[in-house]
Amino acid sequence: MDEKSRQFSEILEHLADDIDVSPSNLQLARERYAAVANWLGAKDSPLLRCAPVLYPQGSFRLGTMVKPIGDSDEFDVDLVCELRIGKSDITQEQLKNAIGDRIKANETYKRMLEQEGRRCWTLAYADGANFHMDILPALPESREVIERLVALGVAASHASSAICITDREDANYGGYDLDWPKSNPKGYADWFTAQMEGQFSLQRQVLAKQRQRSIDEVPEHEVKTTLQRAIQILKRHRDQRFEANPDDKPISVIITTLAALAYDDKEIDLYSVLVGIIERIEQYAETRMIQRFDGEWWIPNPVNPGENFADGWHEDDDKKAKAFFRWLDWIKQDLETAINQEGLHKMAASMEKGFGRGTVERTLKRLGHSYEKQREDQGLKMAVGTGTLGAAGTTVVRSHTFYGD
Amino acid sequence: MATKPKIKNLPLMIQRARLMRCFADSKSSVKRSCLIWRGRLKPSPLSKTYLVELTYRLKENPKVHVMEPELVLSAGRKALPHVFSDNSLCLYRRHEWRGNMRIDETIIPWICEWLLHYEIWLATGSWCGGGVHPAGSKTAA
Repeated sequence: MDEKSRQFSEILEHLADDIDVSPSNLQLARERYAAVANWLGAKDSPLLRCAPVLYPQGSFRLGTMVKPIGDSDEFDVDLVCELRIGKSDITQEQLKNAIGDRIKANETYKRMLEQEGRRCWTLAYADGANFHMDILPALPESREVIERLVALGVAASHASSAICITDREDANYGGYDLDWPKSNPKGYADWFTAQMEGQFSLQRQVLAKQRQRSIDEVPEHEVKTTLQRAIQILKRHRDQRFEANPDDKPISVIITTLAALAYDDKEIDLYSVLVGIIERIEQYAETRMIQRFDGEWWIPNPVNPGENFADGWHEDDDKKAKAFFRWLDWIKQDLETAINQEGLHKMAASMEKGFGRGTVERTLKRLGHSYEKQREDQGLKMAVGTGTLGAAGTTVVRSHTFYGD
Repeated sequence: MATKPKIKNLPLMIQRARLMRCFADSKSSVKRSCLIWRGRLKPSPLSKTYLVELTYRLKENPKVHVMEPELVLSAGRKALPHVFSDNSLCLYRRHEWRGNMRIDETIIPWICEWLLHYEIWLATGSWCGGGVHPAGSKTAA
């Protein structure tokens, strides 16, 4: 099973590469948001006195982005625009508009601006890459609220990045109030990174060595751990399996949080990591990563215990809860079925339902090309007795050219 | 025109001995100057196991057939890639193999490679193992 697990893990890595946003597109997105940041914080910007900071959040920040199903290349980039203003000195509406007005003051951005969102401003990019940039206006949370979070058990370093955001549907949208909608994307990201600390440092070291640079010269966003890859695979499987009824699909923050809680970074191959995550989520009653109180389900935000990611799970006779556990079972079955097939073509066919035909085909092609490259580099070996090809083995596959037909 | 240096072909018994050493469970015989070898090959941990037969006479090219399971076509494709008209596998260009080479170090690994890429071809319709067609055009990826 070890050999199979290793090969299947290699295949899953190729799959994760296919569903991830390409490094060149990510680089483009970073350049574009740096340009927006420059505009917002320019010398003549009315926002300058509020020290605007633009930073990534969500899957863009966590390194867990997946392209949408259906083979398109589009993606979404989530950013926070935080201004240094006290929440009692401004209304949600004023904050939202202050940032919106500055964006619109640039002719190009004005043209790219989509219809105002409930919480964000969205810019649509279509040059070189197709993506949407969501900009979430925010300001820092008050010291009282931060201290309350710490009292609830949140680490001070995480609590201190808590922010207030705006919501057009909030009752206090237009008035001065201390009770703003809350979020803490930085704190969550820091918590998430801590869950994969060991692997993260290791991978960063490996990259540093490969490039013959110091660790600090390897940008954090270029490091990919098995946790991040596992989450990408889980999300894509969820997207594919719930294509017909996307309203029931488990939300990404739940998948991400549970996977991070269930992650054992001593399991180094991707297949074992996924199996381990699924098993430990299934055992939620023992690990208490999902809790039940009075018929309600609780998955607390690790950096805000008062926020329940599963707050709608009990509705409609536990509809969302059932959908979640059904999905967990599906991915468990799909992975097990795939690894027990005899023949790469059979394995591929069994994976189409969970990952999409286009993705599976491209994944297998990546695998094929990697074997070809291995041979070209004279690193492909055949094991005696079985004829199995790989990096281990005694007989080097010599260079040759398939011919015929 | 310069004469080609004479190639010293490895005797059939030596080729056979090497093959049996590599694949202890395989079967082979040398009869009437013909080496026949049958062995099971599994090109990757997740691949199927294939029964192949290799037939070889000195000064001729070894012939390789896949006995089990029957080779099938990829969806929408009309022919197997890199086979001769009798469905024997076409593993190299003429100058790449000579009778002084060990079959277990050359042909057999190339068979495994062919089988691996065959499975990937079944799944994707693309041959990812490189190679050329007699017309000279490179196989489409």
